[in-house]
Amino acid sequence: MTAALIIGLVFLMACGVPLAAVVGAAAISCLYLFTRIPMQAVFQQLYQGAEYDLLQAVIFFIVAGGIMTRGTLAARLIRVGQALVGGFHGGLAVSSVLICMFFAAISGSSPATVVAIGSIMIPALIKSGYPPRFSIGLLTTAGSLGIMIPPSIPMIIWAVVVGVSVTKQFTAGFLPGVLLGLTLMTYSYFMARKYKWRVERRISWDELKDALRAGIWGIFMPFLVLGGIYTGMFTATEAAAVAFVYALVVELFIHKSLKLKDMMPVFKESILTSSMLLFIIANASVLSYYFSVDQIPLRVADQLLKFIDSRFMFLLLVNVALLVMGCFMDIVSAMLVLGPVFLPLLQKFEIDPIHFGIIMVLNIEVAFLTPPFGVNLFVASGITGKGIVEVARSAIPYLVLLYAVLMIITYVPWLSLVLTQWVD
Amino acid sequence: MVLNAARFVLRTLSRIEEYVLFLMVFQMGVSVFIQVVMRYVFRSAITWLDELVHIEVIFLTFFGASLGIKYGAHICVDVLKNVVRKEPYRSLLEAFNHLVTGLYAGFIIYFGMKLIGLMTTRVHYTPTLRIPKHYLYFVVCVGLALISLRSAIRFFQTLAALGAKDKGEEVS
Repeated sequence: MTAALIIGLVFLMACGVPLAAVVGAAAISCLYLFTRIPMQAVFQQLYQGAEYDLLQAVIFFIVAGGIMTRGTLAARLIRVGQALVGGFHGGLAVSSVLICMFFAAISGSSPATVVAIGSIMIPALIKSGYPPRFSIGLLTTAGSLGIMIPPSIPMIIWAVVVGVSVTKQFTAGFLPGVLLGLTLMTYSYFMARKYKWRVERRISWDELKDALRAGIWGIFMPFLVLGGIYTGMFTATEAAAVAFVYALVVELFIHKSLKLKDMMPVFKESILTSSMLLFIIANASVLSYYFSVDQIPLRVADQLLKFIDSRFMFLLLVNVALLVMGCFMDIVSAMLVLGPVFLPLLQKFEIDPIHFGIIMVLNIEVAFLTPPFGVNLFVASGITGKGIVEVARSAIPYLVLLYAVLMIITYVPWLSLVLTQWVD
Repeated sequence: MVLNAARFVLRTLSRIEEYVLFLMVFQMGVSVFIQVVMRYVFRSAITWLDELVHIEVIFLTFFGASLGIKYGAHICVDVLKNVVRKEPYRSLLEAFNHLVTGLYAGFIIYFGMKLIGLMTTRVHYTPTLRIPKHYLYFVVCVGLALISLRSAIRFFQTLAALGAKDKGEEVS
C-alpha cells in the first residue's frame, strides 16, 4: 500500500503536476488511509497553513524586491560600490561582490539580487576586460548571498516550519554570509592578479561624493530595515512592510524612476511569485499535520538511527541528500516537506535548528546554481542572453567554493550561532 | 456566440481579480506600515487592521493560486516535460496535469463545504471583526473553485488545440 502510494505520488510529480497539488494529494491520501481523522480537517489545516503572521513578511519582501529590481536603487548602490573599491586590483570584481552583499541586506531573494546587480555589473565587468565566463559565474554566485545575509525569504519560511525566532535565524546568517562574500572576493582578487586583468583607474573624491549623494537613500535602507529589527523597533513582518513602503516611496517620489502605471506589472509578478509559494506552504502544512498525527518524524528517526550514529555522519548525509534532491525538485518546497521530518533528529544529535537552518539556506544556494532547477542560472541566462549550459558551466568553479564554505559552516556551528546569543 | 460571451466573462473576471489582488497587497503593506507609525506616534494600534491583513493573506494565497493556473506560474518538476517533446504526448501530459490539479481542488472544496455545513449550526467568529468563520471558509472555497475552473479550461483548451492540429494535418 505504502509503496503504491509513493510510486503514484512520484509519478504525479514527474508528470509535472504542480508541487502544491502533489503535496496536498499526498497529505489527503495518507490521512484517509492511515488515520481516522475526518476529512474536514484537511480543509481547516489548509486554511490555517496560510494564516501565519510571518507569511506577510514573505509577500512584502517579494514585492519590495520587485520594486527595487525595476527602479534605480540598485544602479545607485553600484555607483557607490565602484567608487569605494573600484580603484584596487580586480576592484570591479571585488566591488561586485561587495554590492551584492549590501543589496542582500535589503533584499531577501537571490534571483532578485542577480537581476538587480547582475544586469548592470556583468556587462560592466566584460566591458573592462574581465572574461565573460568569470563575470557571469561571479555575479550568478554572488547573487545567492541575497538569501544568506538577512533579510531572507527562505529563512522566514524555515522559521515558520520549525518555529524558531526569525530574528535569531536572521542573525545567524551574518557571519556565514560575510565568510561567503570574503571567499568570493579573495577568489576574484587572486584571479585578477594571476591573469593580470586590467587595473581600474583611481576614482576622485568628487566622484565618490557624487555617488554617495545619489545613493544615499539606498545606503540608508539596510540600516532602517535591519536596524529596526535589531533595536526592537519593529518585528520582521513590520520590517518587511517598512521595506515595501520605503522602496515604493523612494522609487516613486525621490528617484522618480517608476511611475504609478509601472506598478501593476511589478505587483502582478510579485503576487504570482508569493501566492505560488504560499499555496505550497499551505499544502505542506497539511502534510506536516499528517506527519505529526501519525508520528512519522519519530518513526523515520528510529529507522535512521540504526544506521547513523554520529552527528558528523548525519550532517554529511543531510548535505548529500539535499544536493541530490535539489536536482529533482524545487529545493524550497523540499525544505518545507523535510523540515518537520528532520526536527526530532536534530534533537537527537544536539544540533541547533538555527544552525541547521543556515545549512539549509546554503544548500538552497547550491541548488540555485545547479541545473535543472537553478533559478539563478535561468535568471542569469535571461539577462545575459547566454544559453543555460554556458551559464551553468561558468558557475562551476564557484560551486566548488560554495561546497568548501558549506563544509566549514556545517562543521563549525560557532559561525552561525555566536551572534545569536545577543538577540532574542 | 455563447463561447464568445463566456470568454468575455472570464477575461473580465481575471481583470477584476488582478486589480483586486493588486489593491489588496498595496493596502496590506501600507496597513502594516501604518500600524508601526500608529504605535510610535499615537501609542496605540488599530486592532482590527491586524486581523484584516491576516485574512487577506489567506485570500491572496488561494486567489493568487488560481491566477497562477492561468499564467502557468505554479512550481512543478518539469523533467518529463523537457524530455517529452513530441505531440500528441506533450499536450496529453499537460492536459493530464491540469486534470489532476482541477480534481485536487475539487476534493478540497468538497471537504470545505462539508466543514461549512457543520459550522452553520455552531458559528465561530473571528476575534475582533466578528466575522463568522464559515464565511471566510466559503471565500476560500470560491478561490479553490476558480482553481478548478481554470484548470478545467486549460484542460479543454489543450485537448481542443490538439484536436485542431490533428485535423489540420489530415487536410494538408
